[in-house]
Amino acid sequence: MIKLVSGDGAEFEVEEEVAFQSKIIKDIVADADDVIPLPTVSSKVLIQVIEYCRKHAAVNSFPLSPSSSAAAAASSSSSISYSKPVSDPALRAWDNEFVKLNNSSLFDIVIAANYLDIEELVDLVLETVADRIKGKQAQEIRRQFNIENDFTPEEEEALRRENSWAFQNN
Amino acid sequence: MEAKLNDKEYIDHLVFNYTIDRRSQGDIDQKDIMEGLEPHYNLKSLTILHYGGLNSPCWLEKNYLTNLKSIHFNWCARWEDLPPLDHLPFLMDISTWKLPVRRIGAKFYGDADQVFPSLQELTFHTLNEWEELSESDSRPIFPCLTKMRIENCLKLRRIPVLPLISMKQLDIWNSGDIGNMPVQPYAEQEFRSLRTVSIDDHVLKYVWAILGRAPCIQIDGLDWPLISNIPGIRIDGEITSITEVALDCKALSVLFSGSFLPSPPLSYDQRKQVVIVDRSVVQLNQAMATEKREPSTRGFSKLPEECVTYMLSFTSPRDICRLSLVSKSFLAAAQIDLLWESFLPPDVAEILSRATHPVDYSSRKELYFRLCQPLLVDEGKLVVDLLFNVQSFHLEKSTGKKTYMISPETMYIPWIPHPQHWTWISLPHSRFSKQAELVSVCWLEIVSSIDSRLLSQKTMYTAYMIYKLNPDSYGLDSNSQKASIKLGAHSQENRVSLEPDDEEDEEEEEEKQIQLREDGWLEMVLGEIYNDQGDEGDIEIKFLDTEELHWKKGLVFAGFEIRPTKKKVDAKLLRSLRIRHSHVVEAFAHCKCKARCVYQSNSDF
Repeated sequence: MIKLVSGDGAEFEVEEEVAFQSKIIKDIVADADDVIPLPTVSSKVLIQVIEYCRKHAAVNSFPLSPSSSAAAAASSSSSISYSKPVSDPALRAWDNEFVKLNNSSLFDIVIAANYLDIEELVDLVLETVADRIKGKQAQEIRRQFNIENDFTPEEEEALRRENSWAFQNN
Repeated sequence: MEAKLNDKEYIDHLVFNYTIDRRSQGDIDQKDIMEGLEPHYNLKSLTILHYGGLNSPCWLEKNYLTNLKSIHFNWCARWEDLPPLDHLPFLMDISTWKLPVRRIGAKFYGDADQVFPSLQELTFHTLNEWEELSESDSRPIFPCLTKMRIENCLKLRRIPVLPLISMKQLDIWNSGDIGNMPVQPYAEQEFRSLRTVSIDDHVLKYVWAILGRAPCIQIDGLDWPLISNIPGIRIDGEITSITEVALDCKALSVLFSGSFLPSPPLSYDQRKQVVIVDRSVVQLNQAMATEKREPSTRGFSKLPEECVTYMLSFTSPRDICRLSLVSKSFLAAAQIDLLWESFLPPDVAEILSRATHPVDYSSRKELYFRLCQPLLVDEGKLVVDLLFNVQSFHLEKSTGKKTYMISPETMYIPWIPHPQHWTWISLPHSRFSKQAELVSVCWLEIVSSIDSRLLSQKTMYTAYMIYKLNPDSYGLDSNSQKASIKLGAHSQENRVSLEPDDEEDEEEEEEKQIQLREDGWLEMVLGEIYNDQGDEGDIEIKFLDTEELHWKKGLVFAGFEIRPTKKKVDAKLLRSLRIRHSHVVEAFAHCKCKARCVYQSNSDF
């Protein structure tokens, strides 16, 4: 078992294969003790990340269908496999439920996942965020993500002209 | 009444005080009186109080009182403008109180070369209608200003970037939100003298823009929790004497780009709350960084930059260009080479090496848009269209699948060397320099091929014939024309007709075989073929009109084009898109190493 300690001091005991979904943890455990402080991850976020890792570790070690065995093999080997589509439909569905969160929570998760180097989770969350952005106008994005427009009207107009093709026949 | 003030050369101070009941007698009286009271030019200090005239007196506007050092305008209830005072070489102090001015700008600044060359103190107090202090044209304004005070100007929305070289004290109280003004970076030396800034929360953002580099500042009157709601604060440089600053991560993501904070780098959650206590000692105050205090919505600014870029790679070039308008940080993310790399074909380097003319580009983004235009390769014999035309961009095109056009010069066309059968002509708006014009043949055959390795793998391609018909063309309307396309064991043969169908009824039913292109040429579908691994050799494309051997003429042939078949986005395509992203991900692998470094530096202490 590996003990993860969140930034606010909460301790979480998880199985090795769950914790090893994070490449960082995997690298560290090889030459350190089994208490891993994660000062930048709050317990709220860590709980969500562990939930994800637990699910994916379980599916990867006990493939539910032949199609997912290849994926499992790829992820259990030490080689890096990027952007491997989740081929198991059940897991895919579970992922889709998992990311039904508000933007702020998604950002928290992706920061933690990036930090812990859990690539599938980074992919999953960023693709979800991208889906929420696609096809939208800048104004909508600003509202949705509470981003301040820091362009002057002239700068904005110049950019709009420069990228005019992107605003046509939409 | 003859006061003859302009004879009184020893008067230094003058106060014109029109009491309230005198004011009610009407402005003609007051105006006449005021105009008659022109002081001597030796006057040093002038105060006008409760004056009911519509404008300032003429003698003040003509800049004749060149020795004035101090001017106070109080409660002049009908002044909508301030007189031009810019010429007065010794004027050190201007104070205004209760004037109905809306804008202070061009008129006030006048046209002197130096605007308010000696002015040290400037006060705007209770200007209830005041909305804007305009920018001057390029002239420097208030070059000697040491003290500025704005109070009770609730409608104020805009003030220019202030000269702060000599500013010692800046007070902005109970005034409008001037947060909309552009944040202007100041040069460091501009803050040497600033000592006291006193402001309240309406104007926080502006003041923060000023504070950015002030070396020594006392702050009071700030409502600290509010600061965490100001987005886009720019702070870089040294803040050494601020007794206490509390900021959340929004501000700090920028703050940390400055150099004044000691390493090690702080991680994101820790950034929520940083207290800077005296002489840049940084304390992390995690206890206060609770979820409760967090603003309900937090934006992209807290995401690591590589995450934002990576996220954008899941969208499309169109989205990215559109989203560059969101904010400056989006614009920055939308320029990153790594991002555009993900939309380029994997073998782009190989294609560029075959380009007939070298392709110049300074960034991957530029290259991307360059490749949205046709590119001549292999000594001009092929045209490759890597990314299609931007104007008709959609998801399919963002996959960067390749389109080729093949020049007639490379094809097998019987009789072509003989000018009585075929001639070479050169038409504008053409991809290649030469087109083949059919003069007269009976046997019309065109055969071409293209290496399937050149095309994108796992892609359905359609071949087109690009041509025009001369007005005097004949013999080309037979319905025994055939087209074929062949790759390895797969082949397809279709009956085609170069003459567009006159009957309009069918076109709704099926996709038209002949389309008019934007470049004015016609294109006719020849056939479809699926390119799997690109390892099956050449794709052979043929057009034949050899069954009916009558004379034919008037065809102008520009080439064959082979491009991915337009289909609705299907799962296969989506998957291929997904695979394309793996290029980015690999590139991102090194970014992730950064996270590792952060982790290790954290575990060190």
